[in-house]
Amino acid sequence: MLRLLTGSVEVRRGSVEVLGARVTRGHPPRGVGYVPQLGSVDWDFPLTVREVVLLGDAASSAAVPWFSRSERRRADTLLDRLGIASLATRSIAELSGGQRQRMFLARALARRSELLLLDEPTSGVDLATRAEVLRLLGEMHHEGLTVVITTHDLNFVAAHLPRIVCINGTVIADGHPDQVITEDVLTRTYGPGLRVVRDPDGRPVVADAAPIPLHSGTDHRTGRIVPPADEAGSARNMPT
Amino acid sequence: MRLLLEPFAYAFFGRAMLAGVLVGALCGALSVPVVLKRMSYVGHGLAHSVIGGVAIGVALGADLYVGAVVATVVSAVLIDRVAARRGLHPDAAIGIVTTAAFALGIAVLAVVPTRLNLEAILFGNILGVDTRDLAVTAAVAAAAALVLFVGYKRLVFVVFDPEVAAVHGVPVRRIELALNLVTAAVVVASVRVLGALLIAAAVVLPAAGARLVTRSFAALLATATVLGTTASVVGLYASFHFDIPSGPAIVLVGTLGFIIAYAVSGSAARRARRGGSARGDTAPSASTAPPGVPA
Repeated sequence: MLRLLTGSVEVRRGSVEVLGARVTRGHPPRGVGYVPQLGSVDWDFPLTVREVVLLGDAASSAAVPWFSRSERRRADTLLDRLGIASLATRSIAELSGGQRQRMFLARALARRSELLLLDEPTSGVDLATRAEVLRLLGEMHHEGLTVVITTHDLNFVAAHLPRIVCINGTVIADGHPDQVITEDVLTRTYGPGLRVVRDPDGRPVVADAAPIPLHSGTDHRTGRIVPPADEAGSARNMPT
Repeated sequence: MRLLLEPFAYAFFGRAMLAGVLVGALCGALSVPVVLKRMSYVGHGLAHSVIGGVAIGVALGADLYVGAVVATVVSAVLIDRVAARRGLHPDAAIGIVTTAAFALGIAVLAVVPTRLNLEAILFGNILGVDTRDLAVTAAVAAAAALVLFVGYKRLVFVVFDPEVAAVHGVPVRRIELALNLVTAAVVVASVRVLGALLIAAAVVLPAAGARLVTRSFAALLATATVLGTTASVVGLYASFHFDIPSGPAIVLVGTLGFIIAYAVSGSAARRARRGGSARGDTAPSASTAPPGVPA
């Protein structure tokens, strides 16, 4: 879907419009910042954090090898806003997952974006970073930025978003998480095997329909993994 | 001092040295995107195209450069087109296009007798550098420098993250095509000094060595350019004094530079590790597990 929105692939049927302009392959829409998955780049690439953020607006920068003072100032302002100003001159190889995500957000914003597209922004990052990314995106959204996220992280991300669109070849459901996250919608989106329960605040939580126990624990005397009770029973009943 | 000045008593050495400095700097600068984009095979492939193009051009009675330019430019464009199709990686495109050009050239040479000095084309020959070669090299150097100057920021973006560069309005396809054309031009300009078979090494070694000892793109570009130029200068002296073809001499010096960079970076890393363990620092290094990234 993101590739359609960014003009990276051909639109075979229908049309795509972003910010009022029609998008075709090779003609990305203006005013869109894109945050890819963290694993999409070589993190040993010889660039500093500030250089990566400056690249975000390289397309409209002057055709000289250096960035202007105002461009550098703007990059520093973005780094400051995202809480990584102290890392400006650090090599990108030295960043943690959360810092990398913030740097990519700063690069996307460097383009003076009205729409931010994020591809699985919480994959490969720890729980604290997930929460931090969501908080930052929430702030940006409240300041007027439109944010579109693709994710399979229904409980942690989707449940905190104001609007969810479930897609599986076609739009299955579109609306507030309370209305969209239902067993029927999840079955049509992912197939059977998921159930929806409610947390104490009444918010939907997705769970496996029949969790599969992997093991009951470890026998501290032998150090071996102990199978679940019924499996242990069937193991005992196996012919020797 | 006599060893340094004596060769300049011969006019050809002065021309070769000038061409060598330009070719070394060009290959050094070009090696940065080649290594970072992991397209080392491009230099290798385009050099094979040169052999085919020169052979066909000479067999048809055309100028050596005409055949080389036509072959490499056509190859670069075809690589770009073939690689643009879904499901085909650039290395497959390079393998198909350039070996076909090479095979065609060899087949033509087998059928049409020519006076082409194939050894000089394959391994380089400083005796063969004339003022016209020098002019071609200077023109390519000027064009490459202009492309690099004008497109530097966009090129860095495309090499680092082409997917996002495209979304952010950078003309990725045009920049990649320009990079392929500059590579083709550098390969053609380097044939006399380096020889077609050894150009591939010259567009990899400088950046491979420089990357081990630098941390920013600008420093990498500058160091690779200096390493490439130094390898050319020292290699040309070695070629003159030991009477060996210029291409192998330059590549051997470049390899020595890479080995030194490798040793220096290795001992620096060992010192850093010792310093870390002496302080009781047990945190994993940034390159293996950045802080904050779950294992």
